[in-house]
Amino acid sequence: MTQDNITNTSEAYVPKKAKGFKPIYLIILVVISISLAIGISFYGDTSKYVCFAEADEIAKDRPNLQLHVVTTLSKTKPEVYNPQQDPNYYEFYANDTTGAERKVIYYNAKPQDMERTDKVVLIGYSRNGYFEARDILKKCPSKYEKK
Amino acid sequence: METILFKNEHLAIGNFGQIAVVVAVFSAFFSTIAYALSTKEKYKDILSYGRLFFIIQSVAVLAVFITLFTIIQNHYYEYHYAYKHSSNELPIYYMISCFWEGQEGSFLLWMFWHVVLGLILMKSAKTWEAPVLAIIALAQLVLGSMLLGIHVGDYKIGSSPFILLREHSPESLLIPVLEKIGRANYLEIYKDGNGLNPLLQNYWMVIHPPTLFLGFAATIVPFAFAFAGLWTKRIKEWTIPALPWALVAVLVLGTGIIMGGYWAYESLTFGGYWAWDPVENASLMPWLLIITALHLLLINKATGKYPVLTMVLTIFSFFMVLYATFLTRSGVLGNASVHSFTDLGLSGQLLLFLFLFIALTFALSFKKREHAALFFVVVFITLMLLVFWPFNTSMVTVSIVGSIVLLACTIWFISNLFNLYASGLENDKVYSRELWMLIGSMVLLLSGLHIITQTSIPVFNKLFNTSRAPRGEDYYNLWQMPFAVMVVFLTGVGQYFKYKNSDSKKFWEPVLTALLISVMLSVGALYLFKLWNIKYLLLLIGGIFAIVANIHYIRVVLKGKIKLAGASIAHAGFGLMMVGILVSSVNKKILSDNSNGQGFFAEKTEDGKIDENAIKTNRENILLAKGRPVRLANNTLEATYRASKDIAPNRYFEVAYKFFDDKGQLKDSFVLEPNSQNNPKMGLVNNPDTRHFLTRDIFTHITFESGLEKVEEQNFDHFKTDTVSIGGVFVTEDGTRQLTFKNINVIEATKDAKKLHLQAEIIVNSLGDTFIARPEFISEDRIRIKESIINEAGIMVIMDRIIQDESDEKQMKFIVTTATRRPKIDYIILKAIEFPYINLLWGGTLIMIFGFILSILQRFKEAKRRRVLE
Repeated sequence: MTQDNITNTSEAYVPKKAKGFKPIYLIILVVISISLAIGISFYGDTSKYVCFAEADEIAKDRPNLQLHVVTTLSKTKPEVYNPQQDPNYYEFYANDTTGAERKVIYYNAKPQDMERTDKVVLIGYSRNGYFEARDILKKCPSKYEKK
Repeated sequence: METILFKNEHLAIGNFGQIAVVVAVFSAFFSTIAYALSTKEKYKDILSYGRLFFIIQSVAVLAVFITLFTIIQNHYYEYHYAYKHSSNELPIYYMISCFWEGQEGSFLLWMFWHVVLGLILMKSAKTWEAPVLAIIALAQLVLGSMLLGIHVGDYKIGSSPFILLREHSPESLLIPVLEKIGRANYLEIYKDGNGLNPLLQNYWMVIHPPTLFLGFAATIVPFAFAFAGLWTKRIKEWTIPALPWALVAVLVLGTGIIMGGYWAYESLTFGGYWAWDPVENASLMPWLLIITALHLLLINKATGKYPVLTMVLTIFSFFMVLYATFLTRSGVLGNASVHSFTDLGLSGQLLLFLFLFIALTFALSFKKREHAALFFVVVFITLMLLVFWPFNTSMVTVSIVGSIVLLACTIWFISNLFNLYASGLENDKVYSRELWMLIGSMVLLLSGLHIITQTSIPVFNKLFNTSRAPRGEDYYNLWQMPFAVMVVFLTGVGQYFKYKNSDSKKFWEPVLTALLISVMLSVGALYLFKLWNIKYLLLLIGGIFAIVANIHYIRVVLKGKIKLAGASIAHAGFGLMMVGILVSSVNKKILSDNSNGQGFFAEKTEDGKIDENAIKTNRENILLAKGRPVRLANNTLEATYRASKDIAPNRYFEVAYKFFDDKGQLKDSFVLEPNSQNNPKMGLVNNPDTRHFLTRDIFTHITFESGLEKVEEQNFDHFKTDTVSIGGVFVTEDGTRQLTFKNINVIEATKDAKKLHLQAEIIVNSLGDTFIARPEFISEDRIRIKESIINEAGIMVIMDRIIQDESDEKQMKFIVTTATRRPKIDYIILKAIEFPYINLLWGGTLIMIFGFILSILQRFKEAKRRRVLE
């Protein structure tokens, strides 16, 4: 560090009465307005946790809004992952919190460890007749789990 | 219920640990009281009791630490913690990771660092010892209570790491096998633990948590000095000892965060070092606050200005650590994060921890002791009442009341501080360093504020019964980028200003020179990094400007004195980091991009349609069949899956990469070995492998492999029968496999011709690969045939009969039946990513850390010198 900040420190600082323009006012103004922007952005257009039926409703007006659906994997309906045919197509069925069942398509490899999971959060879009997941968050109940 | 005498349990060690926890909690309590009293002149002598109890507490914490480690190390699976987090085959260094995999162990780690810091401060804090150590002892009391595991009515106080497996989960004694061998012998079944999550079996996981927790623990020190300043009415002096400790917290916490990012990059498969996950954000939030506080402490030290803001930021950076702890450990993140801790039901206790410190600190801002006491009692009881609300009111009402109380108290606290310092708004000159450092600090603060609000969405959901989902990475990047641009420019210009006022000409000359050089370098960088996007231009120029301006400052103003250049070096490192983040993420390239939507085998889908959406989506995984090279990334890369090998518990896949330049000349060739661990208890986990070059990294991991396919064996179909002689060539019914009858071998032939055993040698050509089929024909009492199946070619070959050629009696003819099904091939599904120039990020980080270390050395030396002068 430079010399100037090693010296002259301990003497008590006495605020002086300011005259005219204070840059600090500008700073406060800008800080407050950006904070407001952060707040507005928080309440603005945000993704939501929904069930499949709500997702369909939202998709009618705003097909590009990403939605989160908390689901449990269907144990009865079979999943489809046939990597020799297409390594980027994984299809399964899931039930949302209301119990409604929906086909889910994930244009990616089948996530590791799907068998051991029952609860997953799907992030994606409601399409005609199915839900297109862009991301699948698995929740394993008993461990510190990374993606 | 009859009492069972369980065999082979090691109960003594657990009891010892449990007692040590209780001793730690009680001695922390007494140490807090004694230290607190000794801040008063008339109780000065009690100080030695405070020390004594703190040392007892330290020994007890160490005892708990060692006891738990011994239990894990010796595989005492009668203890739930050992059973859940470790297993027999784990090497010793991962035993350490097991220790902090659980919440209890990580609380202990935190307490351990408080002990270390407390003992250092006991020696070095001098006149500050009593109030500072009182706060640390209080934190130890609260943290220790998290490990008690005592039930009071319906409430559980803490969660003990020494709970037995059979106490934690009584169902462990109910498994049927135990009926035979007797429940007393239950440990004969629990001979191996659950094991450590394979993802955490990485050397970074041995050192990342201790570093991060030291960072968390270190934030208590500047806070304790601020608190002590309010408490002992030394409201101006506290910043001097707090400053170097704030630097320590910034350094260690920052290093811990980066280590976590590096671990994610090296061992996770999401392909990156940062994903804006709430748990990652929870570590970044306190860091942004403490680095803001650090800059305010520097301004305050040099000019005495902004005392209120300095104190508020220092205090809130510690509150943010407590809040982050609540976020990651209470289970509130629930659906929002993929890697928060398991909920232990401690959320009430965690909130108590946070609100206790808030109420205490706020109370100290009152001038009169009675007012302070009254404020503390009222606010703390109100907040606790709201947390453990016993009445049947709607949650939302309680939350709104709670939020209003907290907000009002914060405003009250800040206005009290303004009174205390008798301070108004400062008058800064435009050409003063303090003004521009303040602006920079405010940018950092706003950046932090944005991350805090977004990360708190799950908390808002819980409080106000809403269902907002957390935002994705793009949203964070969009918001954080302008902040980053402002910060890099400010780090470049900041030091050229002098405190109070500076000569405008002396300022502009070097700054404009540096800016000019940076713009020129940026043009070069655009070509080098292929960063053809105007959106990122400002950050690129800014990052380079931060490097150039700071190097120039070290050379010209500091005359190359490296010892004094800590801040400049850290700032230059930060600039380099930003350039690295920019280049490596904007130009990150999915090498395994498979956008054409074609499968490996061009068989038709069941309904014969190809989904339009599927083709549009970025398709990032490709199939590599064993031994068959695949060209990727516009023909510049050839990837071949060569072989797999099993080294328990992992299966390694050898993937050979060959990179070609535009002219088709071979540039690089190397082999990567991503692996997967099919852990019987944790499930399947894929681990990446990365090849590091100076200018780029090639990152790869498998997403699937043929061994995991659970498709039922298809039945053979398309039967066809041919009559061939040796050397004859024929095809299967669908024409995809070509066969050549090469030879016939006699395996056994008795002289009396009673037994004849023949084996044919038939070459099968399937999709460019060659196999040999060896069907057999045995004629004894009756005729038996043995088919030959080649899974890889999906073919079955049967030698039905042998007949003599009608035209030539010596010539034999063979009737061969073939049938086909889909070939079963050995393959992997692979994802490969190129990160260009990611070493700029890691290099920048190392430079920044080096700068922080220089600053810390310098500041401690300075603080010592000042004390000598006093």
